[in-house]
Amino acid sequence: MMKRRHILTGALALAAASTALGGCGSESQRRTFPVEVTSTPMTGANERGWTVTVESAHLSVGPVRFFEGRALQARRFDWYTLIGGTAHAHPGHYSPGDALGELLSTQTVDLLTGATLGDASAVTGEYGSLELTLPAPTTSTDAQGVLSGHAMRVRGTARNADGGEVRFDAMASLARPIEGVRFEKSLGMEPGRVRIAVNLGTWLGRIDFATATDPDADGVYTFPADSQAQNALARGVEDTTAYVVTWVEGAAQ
Amino acid sequence: MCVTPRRGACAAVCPYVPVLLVTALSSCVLALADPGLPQEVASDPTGASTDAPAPQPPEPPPDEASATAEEAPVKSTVVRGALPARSASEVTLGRDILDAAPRRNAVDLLRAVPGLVASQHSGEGKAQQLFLRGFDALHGQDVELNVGGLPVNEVSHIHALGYADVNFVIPEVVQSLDVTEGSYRASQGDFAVAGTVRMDLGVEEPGVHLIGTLGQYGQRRLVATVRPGEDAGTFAAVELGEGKGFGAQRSYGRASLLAQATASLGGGLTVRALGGSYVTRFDSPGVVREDDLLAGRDTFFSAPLGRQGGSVSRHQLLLGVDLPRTGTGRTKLEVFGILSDLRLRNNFTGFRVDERGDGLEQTNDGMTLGARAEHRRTVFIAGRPVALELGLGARRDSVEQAQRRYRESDGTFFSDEIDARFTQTDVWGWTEARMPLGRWSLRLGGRADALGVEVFDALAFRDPRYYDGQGYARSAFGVHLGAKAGIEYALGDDADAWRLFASYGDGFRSPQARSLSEGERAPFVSIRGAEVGSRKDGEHWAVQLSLFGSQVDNDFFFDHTVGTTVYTGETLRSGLSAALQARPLPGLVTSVSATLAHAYVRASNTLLPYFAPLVARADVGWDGQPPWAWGSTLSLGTGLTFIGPRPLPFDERSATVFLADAHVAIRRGELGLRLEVSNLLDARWRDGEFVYSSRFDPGAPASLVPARHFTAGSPRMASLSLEVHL
Amino acid sequence: MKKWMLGLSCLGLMACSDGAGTVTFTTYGEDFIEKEIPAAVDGEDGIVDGWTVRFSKFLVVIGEVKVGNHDETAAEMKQARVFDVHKPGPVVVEAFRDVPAQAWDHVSYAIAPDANAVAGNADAADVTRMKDNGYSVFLEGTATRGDQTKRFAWGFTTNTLYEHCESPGLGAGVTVPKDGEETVQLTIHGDHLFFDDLQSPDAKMRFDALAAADKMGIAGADGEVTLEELAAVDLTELPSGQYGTGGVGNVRTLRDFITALTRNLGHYRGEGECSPRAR
Repeated sequence: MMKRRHILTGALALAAASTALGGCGSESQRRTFPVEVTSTPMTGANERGWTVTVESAHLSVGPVRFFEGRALQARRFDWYTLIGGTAHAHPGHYSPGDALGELLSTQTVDLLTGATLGDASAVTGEYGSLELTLPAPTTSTDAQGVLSGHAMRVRGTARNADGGEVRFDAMASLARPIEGVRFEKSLGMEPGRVRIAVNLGTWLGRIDFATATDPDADGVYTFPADSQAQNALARGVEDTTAYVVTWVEGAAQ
Repeated sequence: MCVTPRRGACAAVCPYVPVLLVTALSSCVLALADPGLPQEVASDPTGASTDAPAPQPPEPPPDEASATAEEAPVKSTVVRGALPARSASEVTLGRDILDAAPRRNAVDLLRAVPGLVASQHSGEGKAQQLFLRGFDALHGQDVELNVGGLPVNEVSHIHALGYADVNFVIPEVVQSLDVTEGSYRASQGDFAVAGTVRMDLGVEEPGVHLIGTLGQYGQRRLVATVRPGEDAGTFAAVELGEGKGFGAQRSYGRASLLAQATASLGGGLTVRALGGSYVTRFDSPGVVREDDLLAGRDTFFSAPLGRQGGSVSRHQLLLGVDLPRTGTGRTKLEVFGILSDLRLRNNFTGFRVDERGDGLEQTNDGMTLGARAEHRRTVFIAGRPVALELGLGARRDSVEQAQRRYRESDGTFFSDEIDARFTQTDVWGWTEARMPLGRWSLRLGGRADALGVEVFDALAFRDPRYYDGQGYARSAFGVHLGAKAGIEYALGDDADAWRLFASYGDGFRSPQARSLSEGERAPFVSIRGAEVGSRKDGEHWAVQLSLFGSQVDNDFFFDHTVGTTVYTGETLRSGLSAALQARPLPGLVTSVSATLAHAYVRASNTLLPYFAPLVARADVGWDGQPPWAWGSTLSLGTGLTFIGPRPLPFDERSATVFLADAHVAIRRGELGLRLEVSNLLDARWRDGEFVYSSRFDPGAPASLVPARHFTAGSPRMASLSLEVHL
Repeated sequence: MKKWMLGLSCLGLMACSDGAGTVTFTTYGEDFIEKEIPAAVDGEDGIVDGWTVRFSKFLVVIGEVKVGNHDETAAEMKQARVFDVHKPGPVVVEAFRDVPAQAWDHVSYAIAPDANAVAGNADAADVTRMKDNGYSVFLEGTATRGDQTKRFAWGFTTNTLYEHCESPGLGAGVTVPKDGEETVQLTIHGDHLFFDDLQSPDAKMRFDALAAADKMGIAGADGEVTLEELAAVDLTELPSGQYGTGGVGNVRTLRDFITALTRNLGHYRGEGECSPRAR
């Protein structure tokens, strides 16, 4: 039952349905591994010339799912990016393939300190990508209300070269999970854990803080719904390259 | 003069050269055959049966059945197959073996077949999942089942290919099971990949026989059989049964009627009519997730999702005629018709695919008409007798199928997925010739099946925004040719000497009609199998040993729980099977079998999951009249099943299953009392185990990593029956 | 009986010859490219902000058409060809003869620049243009709304392989009938270039943001929307809720966006889809 003019194929639905017999044979084994979330700070100014000092950053994260399908970015380094062009990185149809691991709980994470989400139940195999759900928090997952009902919240101060200074409180929610975050690993039974590092520079990289407003004149600027800042924040948060996922070897600390 | 077919350039490369040779040989044979020669063949030294060397028809005609019975009026008959076996793993299980262990339904009968594992995973009315000789036959795609001449497998069934529902059979009227394992005989047809099982019907005692059963979990059953005369094959039987089942959502109700009449019309002409009607409605508990059980969210017998179950009705009639013998020639003609209607509701994945529910309702309404003719004779080539069998037949199935998704909340439909009707016609011919040469026998046969399919798919191309018509029709045609061959060597000259066999056969199963494209050459799945074995059919015991292997070129694994087909490429199966039927002491009968099988996918060198490498079965029964029983007859019996651990995906194994069923019965004159206990040890066993991803809690996030699911096997169930024989 | 035996032998010989058939590939732009993409009216498909788009040229370089299955390749196109799917179609891309008559479930093709491409139904000048600029897709047309008109002429160098092509009604790949001919249409959906989301199934067709990009040029808006003008529009400056990238990195400007959309041009047998792979 294909709708006519839609880009996303039934392949995604089919792929979801075909996660049935991943590893129809005795080569894969079940295992678990911990998943932790941290952040990498912003260095230097963003694209619009603002340098940001982050005071707090929180994220509501989970479920986290691991799939065999490789992420959309081209595997080969695109030389075109060296000469200033942007790589044509989107082929159109990410197909997750078999589900290899999952961590189903939701948690609110303080990105500046980092946290372990828990253990993912998984199987061995060839991992290609990760799906990250950033849901709206509930009272049980965000007891202190740091997220104010949004999926992410960053507070800090942005300064630009002209001396402008904006104390901001940025929040955003996503309608859909972030699919196709690259995580390529041939995973066996070795001990280790998955680390998801949120690149705050990518989150905040395209925001022009000049479009933020302070409607209640309390000194803290927020992003109106139609502003460039909110648009750029949403695009930053849903950008799969904002999440750098690596496998850290060794036993848990 | 021989009429030989043109040997074109094809002969060098064509794999069907054996078939051409067979036809050439048969043509020559027929050309030379002089049916007028008198029957000088009674002195055939290697004939395995004491009857005339003319090969005997599959179902023993009334005179031969009574001939066997005449040898001993009580149960400890001499062990003789009803027909001579032509390969190492053919066996006929007589009524005494079938009566040894408790048989609640027809599937319990099938469990006596050496190496066959039957798993019931969806309620009392659905066809069981069968495993045999390394093949996961799903619901019958690899085992050809036949009841008194009526085919049981349904072609291109919406639920599973070759769906074979034997639940209409009343166990009390089955008098023998003819098992032909492997696919080495030319008479074996569609779906005879792992083997063929034919049930022959007949009632043991003359008169009226009433059985009323009360059992645990609300089981009630009433069976009435009438055998008016001397002929065991003329009877009528009706069964009514209902039960609540041993856990939630396992209730069922069924009614079945089977009647057969055989009459001799004089001049050697015999007619047979077999008819039956069957209807059932049943609930099904579905599957339980292993992690839900471990976490305590579900109990072992719980049914997480409702609305599953179904209803089936089946009406069938077969008319057969045995023409008068002409010399050594015997001809049998049969026509049959079957009306079968099925409605099934299953939800194996909960809410994983759609938040409204993944429940599937499938309906499959079919009408089958068919006819077959078989001819046997002995011809002479160079003075040697050759037993020749020829068969022709045709079968037409017209089926309407639908598949819809229903909401878990109220059962209403929200999506039509399949709405198709098709007509599938199979026309076949086969021939087999066996030539004894001293202690050797050579057997050569061939079979051709032509399949024509016409499908109308009402759901294709019907979006009014883009198409102004509706539906799409297509037709396909294809032919399958198979060769069968065997060599037999007897180590002695007696009838009960050891015999060695080597056999080869091409088996096949027809494709799913809906999967065919316009003009496609209908692709059969072709299986090549071979076997080496030996057997001894002795006075008090018979044993069959065989080493078998088979290769499938383009095998697929259809996971019907989630509706996807995984093409596995070439698969190889091999194994070892041993079976023993013995009647060592008067009144004692045992049948023991063990099969070791290995099935793997060549491309990835992994084992095919879900198939138990080791299965064993023992049926032991004793009846007699002990001195303290005041002239009553006491019967004891037990059936023991052992299913070794099955490989599952992700390097796991299912648990070993050991089940013991037992019965004790006492009969005096017209009255009898029987106590049957199945799963005497109350083992907690998992009937079916599957690994796939599901989501049973719509509120919780979906778990997409494949998890283990199981269907619970029945706990200890006891029932008491009162029997009245008039 | 003897006749029956002979018949069986004949069947044997018949089954010996596996049979072959012809597969003809065509390409077609459908009404959206041949005629126009209308403004959406009353819930019909169309451009929701009132523009109507008419193409005057729509060139694609089609090559590497392959028919096979996981084991083997039955037929392969050796020569890429340039087609103008604005011209009335469908038009034949290639006909493969003597393809073994069976089901082939892997059909793939590419829309990619090719220095050796020859003309399919395109004019010679267009073929030269495609080869000189390394274009795989070139389109030229106008968009009108009321009295506003914008022209555009865009060439793209994207290299996309469309694999695992599957049609919802007819299945994956193609089944070749014995001694028959099967036609497979590689359908080009030109309207996909105007979608406002890279991944959502609810994407709509828009042109406002593209029209508004026409700011450069000597006198300001000159009525022509160029790719350079599109590259100057940062997606963050567009109205929220439009031009969602679904989290894909490196798609930052309208030019990146439309270039990414060119990978969705190729379809299969009408409404069927393939898996596009960027190369």
